[in-house]
Amino acid sequence: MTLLLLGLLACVGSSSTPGTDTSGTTVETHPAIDPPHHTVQLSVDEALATVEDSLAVGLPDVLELHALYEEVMGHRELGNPGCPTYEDPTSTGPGGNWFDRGCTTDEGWTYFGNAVALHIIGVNPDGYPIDAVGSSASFQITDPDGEVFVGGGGYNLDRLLIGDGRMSLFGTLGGTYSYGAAEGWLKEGVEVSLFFDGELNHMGVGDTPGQLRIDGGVGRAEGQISFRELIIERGETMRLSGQIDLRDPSGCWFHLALEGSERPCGTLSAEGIDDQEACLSDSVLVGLDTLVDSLETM
Amino acid sequence: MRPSGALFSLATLMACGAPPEEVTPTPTPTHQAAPSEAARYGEPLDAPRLLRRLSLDLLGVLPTEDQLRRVTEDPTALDALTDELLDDPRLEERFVHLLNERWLTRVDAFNLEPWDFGLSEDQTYPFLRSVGEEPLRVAARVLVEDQPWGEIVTAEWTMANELLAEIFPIQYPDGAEGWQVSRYTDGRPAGGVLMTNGLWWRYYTTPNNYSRSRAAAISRLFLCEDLLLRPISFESPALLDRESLNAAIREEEACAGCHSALDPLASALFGFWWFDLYDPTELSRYHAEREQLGVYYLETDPAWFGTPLQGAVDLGPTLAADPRFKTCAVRTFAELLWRRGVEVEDLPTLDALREGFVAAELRPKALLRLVVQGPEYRVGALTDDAPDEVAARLSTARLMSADQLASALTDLTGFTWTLDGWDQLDNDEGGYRVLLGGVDGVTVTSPLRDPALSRALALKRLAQGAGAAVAAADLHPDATTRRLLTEVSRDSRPGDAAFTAQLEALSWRLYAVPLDAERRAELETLWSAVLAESDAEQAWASTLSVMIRDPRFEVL
Repeated sequence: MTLLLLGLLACVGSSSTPGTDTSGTTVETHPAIDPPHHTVQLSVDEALATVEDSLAVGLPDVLELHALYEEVMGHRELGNPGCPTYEDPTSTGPGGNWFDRGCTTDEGWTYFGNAVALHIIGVNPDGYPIDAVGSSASFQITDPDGEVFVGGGGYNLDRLLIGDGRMSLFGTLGGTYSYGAAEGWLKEGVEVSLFFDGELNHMGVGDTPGQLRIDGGVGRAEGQISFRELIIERGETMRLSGQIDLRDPSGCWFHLALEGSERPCGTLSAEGIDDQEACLSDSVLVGLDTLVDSLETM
Repeated sequence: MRPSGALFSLATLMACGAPPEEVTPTPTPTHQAAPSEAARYGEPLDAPRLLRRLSLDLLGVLPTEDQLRRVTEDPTALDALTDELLDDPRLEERFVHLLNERWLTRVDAFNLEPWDFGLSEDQTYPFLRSVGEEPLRVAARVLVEDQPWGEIVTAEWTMANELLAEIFPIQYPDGAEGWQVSRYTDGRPAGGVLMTNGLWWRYYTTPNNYSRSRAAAISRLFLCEDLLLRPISFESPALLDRESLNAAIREEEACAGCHSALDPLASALFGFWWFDLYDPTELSRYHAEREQLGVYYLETDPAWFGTPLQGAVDLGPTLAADPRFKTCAVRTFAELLWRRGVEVEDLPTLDALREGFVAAELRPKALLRLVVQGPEYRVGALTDDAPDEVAARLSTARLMSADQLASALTDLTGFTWTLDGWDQLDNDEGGYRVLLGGVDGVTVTSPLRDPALSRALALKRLAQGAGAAVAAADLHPDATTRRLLTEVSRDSRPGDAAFTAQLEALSWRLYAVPLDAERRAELETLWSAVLAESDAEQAWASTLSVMIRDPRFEVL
């Protein structure tokens, strides 16, 4: 009975246009729901400039973040309990699992929260050399100068050398990170949800162009951008295809569908404006180039 | 086609139809004579008891002696008194508790604890209630300000207190105290309760659920469509990864029936996607850059039951424009105040309520007024010729909810039951909320409707505490004001005019029922028996305890 009623109650109500179906049931129809129509607040030029500003400091780099984490955890105080408290009190490196509600080392580092991190260098079961990093974390680490390294989320990056100088990789970087003492993308803080996969050339050397696919978003003070199957193809030149989106302050999104040419150009669309051709500055390529360089180095 | 078959077909049709059309069912054919109006709706409570029900439902307190006197002298004064109750500021607090029976956000645990935000452990109870009440407070504020009900899902503001202002990115009025209209500062779009942390802390999602449970919660809470109740049958394929799961959802008809609507809705909710389920920063902030992750995870763009959405920014306005939203509001208000689920036979009433609600431009106070003016709310007894269906459906006697007991007794006796800062009638960590018939929001999601042993035991202790507290306070030699024992002194004895007047006043105040001779004799005997073993204060404490445990007190 309850189930029958749910179906009925979901739909009962009066409206202005009653009718009757073949079974004799009175059917009352409503016009389709008309969602709100927004107008973006940014001009096209402002939108493009915002994308460029957002990418100017480069995309978040898993390897850079992991290196920073290892450096910061290198200041841990060993012992039992140490600071912070590691699950394995005999461990000495930055990896492993720790939890602490707040402790301060003699050196002046304060650790609050928890994290687990690892870095594996070896050979995978298929015989390929592998370099993998990963972390899951929720911490606030304050350095002796009072700068706070905030990390909440997780990341992983697996890179395999698969022969002929080729490198296969996939990874994820998701969460909220900031550290005022850092440089670049981490300094002002970033909210990130990036997914990577592709095949690159180890150390950038190879005849076949490397290709990296990026999905997901990056949010920072300048704005929020999102990638939908953004393909970075790097051979003699760099080509971008796929889509870069920018969130307008209204909550709507600009969409730039890239055409895959040597210049970062494509068709820009958004609610309330006509589709139009638009190009990002070539400076955008520099930031992406830096990320690919980092990933190719193993 | 048998009526039940027709209803089943109709339910199935509505469950599967994507566009939000509305259907009024064909009246159920019957070969029996229709019951009379009186048999169908029962007999209403008399005016004093109806006022008592209204006051408890709308404010959580018993009516005052003056209010009872007004309706006794003139039963038509009930309409004016109803308006007064609807304008009473205590309606806001009461509605928070009432709506919680449906939204279930006042839970005893979230993924995070106070220490995650640097708060002390003794702030655990206020932490839990502050977060859990955020969406309820938005709805309650819309109610008391009588804004159109759609505001609950379109407002660009939220409600916050000092604690939430400390832990969330919220702009809270300078120098203010308590719950205030506030605003998030992290770029989340307007969306009323849909954009509150409190709602999504309660209805969280997991790395393999991809916001689908949240979409289902939206459907259940705001459309009154519980997707989990839809009948499905399918052979389980191997769903080992996201791609195979998404493929099955698209290709299996049984899956697509729900997921064709569920997944696009879930796709609009990724601003609340967390990469760590226990990280305070992740859980406190809205993540605008993740709004489009639904396309990645679910392989579908955001949409509302077939209507494309730009994203979260469209969610609230589109929901508010869905005809089912209004219908669900009517059903929700009716069920909460009728204290029962609605049945097919209630559909004409719900339809009429809906028409009145729409005519009143979706003002929630108008809907409350319409519901409490109806015979389904006012019913107090069945007629002798009431058919079985009516007897099974109507709720003539309703148990006070746990929060009503707590607030009514606090108002009546000044007694509050706390332990280490926790309200013992409002939690289940160490308290008695569920034992008293309340909901904990997770394992117990429907309030107790019938008497139960655990409730009787919890109520016994509560009544003892309240009776003792008010007897001690009222009979204290230095008492300047009295709450309940206004007629007697420690020297009053059964047979004294003052003693009799006191019992009569208590019966009237507690039950809105005059004291009869039999009951009076029982109470006097009880009082004397306790006096024989103790003193007058204890005698009154015991008598009050028994009166509070009387079914006439806990029943509306």
